[in-house]
Amino acid sequence: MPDDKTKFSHIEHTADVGIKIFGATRTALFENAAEGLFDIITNLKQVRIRETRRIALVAGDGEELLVRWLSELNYIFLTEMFLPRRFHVLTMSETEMTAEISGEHLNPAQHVVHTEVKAVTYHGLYLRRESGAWQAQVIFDL
Amino acid sequence: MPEIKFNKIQSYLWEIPKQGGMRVPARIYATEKMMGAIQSDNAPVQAANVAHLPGIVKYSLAMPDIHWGYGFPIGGVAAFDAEAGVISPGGVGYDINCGVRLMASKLTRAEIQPRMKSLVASLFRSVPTGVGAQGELRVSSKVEKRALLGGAKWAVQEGYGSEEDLEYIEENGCVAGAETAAVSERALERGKNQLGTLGSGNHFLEVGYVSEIYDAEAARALGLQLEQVTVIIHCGSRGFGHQVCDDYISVMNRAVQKYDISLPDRQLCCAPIKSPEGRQYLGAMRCAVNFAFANRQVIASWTRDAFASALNMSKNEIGLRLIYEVAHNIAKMETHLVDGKKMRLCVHRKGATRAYAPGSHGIPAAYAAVGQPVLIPGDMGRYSYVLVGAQGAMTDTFGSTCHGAGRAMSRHKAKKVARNRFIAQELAAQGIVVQASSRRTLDEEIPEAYKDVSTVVDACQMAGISKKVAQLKPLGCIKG
Repeated sequence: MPDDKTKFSHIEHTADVGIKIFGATRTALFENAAEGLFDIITNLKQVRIRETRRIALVAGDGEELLVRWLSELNYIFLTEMFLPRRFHVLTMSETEMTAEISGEHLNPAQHVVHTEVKAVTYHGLYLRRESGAWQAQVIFDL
Repeated sequence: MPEIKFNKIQSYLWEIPKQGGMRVPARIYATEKMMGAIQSDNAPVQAANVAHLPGIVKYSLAMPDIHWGYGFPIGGVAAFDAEAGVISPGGVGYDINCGVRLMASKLTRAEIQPRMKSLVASLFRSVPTGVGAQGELRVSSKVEKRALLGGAKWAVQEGYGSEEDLEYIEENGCVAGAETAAVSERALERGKNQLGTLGSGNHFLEVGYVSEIYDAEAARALGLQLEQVTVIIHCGSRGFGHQVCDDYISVMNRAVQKYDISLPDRQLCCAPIKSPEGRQYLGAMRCAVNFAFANRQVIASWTRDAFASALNMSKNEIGLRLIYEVAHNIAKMETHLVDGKKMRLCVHRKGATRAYAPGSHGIPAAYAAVGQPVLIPGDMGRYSYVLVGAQGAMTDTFGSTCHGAGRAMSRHKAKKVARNRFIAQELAAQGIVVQASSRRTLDEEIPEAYKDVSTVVDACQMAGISKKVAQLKPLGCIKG
């Protein structure tokens, strides 16, 4: 079991990359998952906060909402080259959420981009509460 | 799923008998030695999971390069009854029509080896690579839609390559039935600046040479000879295809409830081929198939330009004739013999290649006597193979064979192994010039992260599903 401060850890998958995510609350878990995704894509320490955006999402169930959230962030990065660094969930229910993300546009001279995440998959996906804390697993297609 | 047990059918073929909710058995093509590694990950369970899908015919198959994917295993082949079966976006994968093109030049290794540095640099400048790479080719969504309908044909009309190229592409570089109305705005947005881009991860453009010939007659028919310089292009439908898959996995997640389909893994979500959801996915997927055909045609054209400028020779002197291009993530409507009867099937190949035997319908006239060429890339340091389809594929694997080496190490492990090493320098010491957008990509793609592709193609040959024609060794490569 990770300590209280661990936000996410990498899991071994032969072809792709997965993360296990932890959070005291569902909200914290979603924020940590976003950080886990962008930790695969870039070095978040190099990203400054210059712009804030708002996101609203609806899904069929809790797990799908997690996939939608990460897919949305990846879509914004891939189409607008916007690198978010801070993730703040404003409202959250099982199937709906709103959030604010802050960061800046990609500048190749300043930011390193490690890899492209093609998609957030449903394979091996789970989101559950275990002895008071939240845990999830997501596998990305690289 | 209970613990997986295998029955040995032949020395290269293993079967997971039908059990639980499986509708058919699963079969894995591999040697005894390969089975050890295959059993150590989740891939066999995934092959068995695919056997749960409605309308699956005969077997859920896995080629010798099988490895753990998401939903379907990579290296998986599954055919579904066109009337009563399902179609699954996960059975095609996110990188729809990821595929491989092989071109052969009139040059020899000795002629270009001293000039590889400038050639690789010229290719790196000409073909955008890496994350979010945007091509020189900026198209409006109206023009993008024409590419989605026309594939490589559209690219030729726009001046990329020649009519003759089309003869040597699977499906002549354009599948019918593409429906742009089934494509989301998001997919169009992700694709619009990505025509003519290689992408990242395991995609690459490699310059190599013919290092060995195993079948002189087939090599002659294909126009391959020892020491001849070749180019391999491995890439797919980029963000466009990824988004199409993503969009339709959401659609299919709802469809499985609507059609009451029970699944062992959510990523296997699917819908009946004849349902509105199934038809829409087919229409959108075919747009992505054509996007990838167009993408490789544009990249090939820039490759020919880059050779001409780096070597200061005319394109005619260089050659770079298209030998063949295959798709290895695709679903296609095909007719195959099943228990002696012709049957219309939707064949899903996820990390598997069509490998039609000599005399089959749908292969270029020039190759009719030797079979359809199959291109199997290996890793950056070792070798790749040219195969042709064989009769066993027609009877046993719905006309399919393997697609590559398959990873032996996770990316995470490869990065650890590569830490404190200089992969580009190591490869340079072996005479291979490599240029990549990201150091991490090179680390993750180190040769030892992959299985030895020769064991994969040998297993396919032993199983009679494809036959080795030639081996190609790398001289240089560009990556994302």
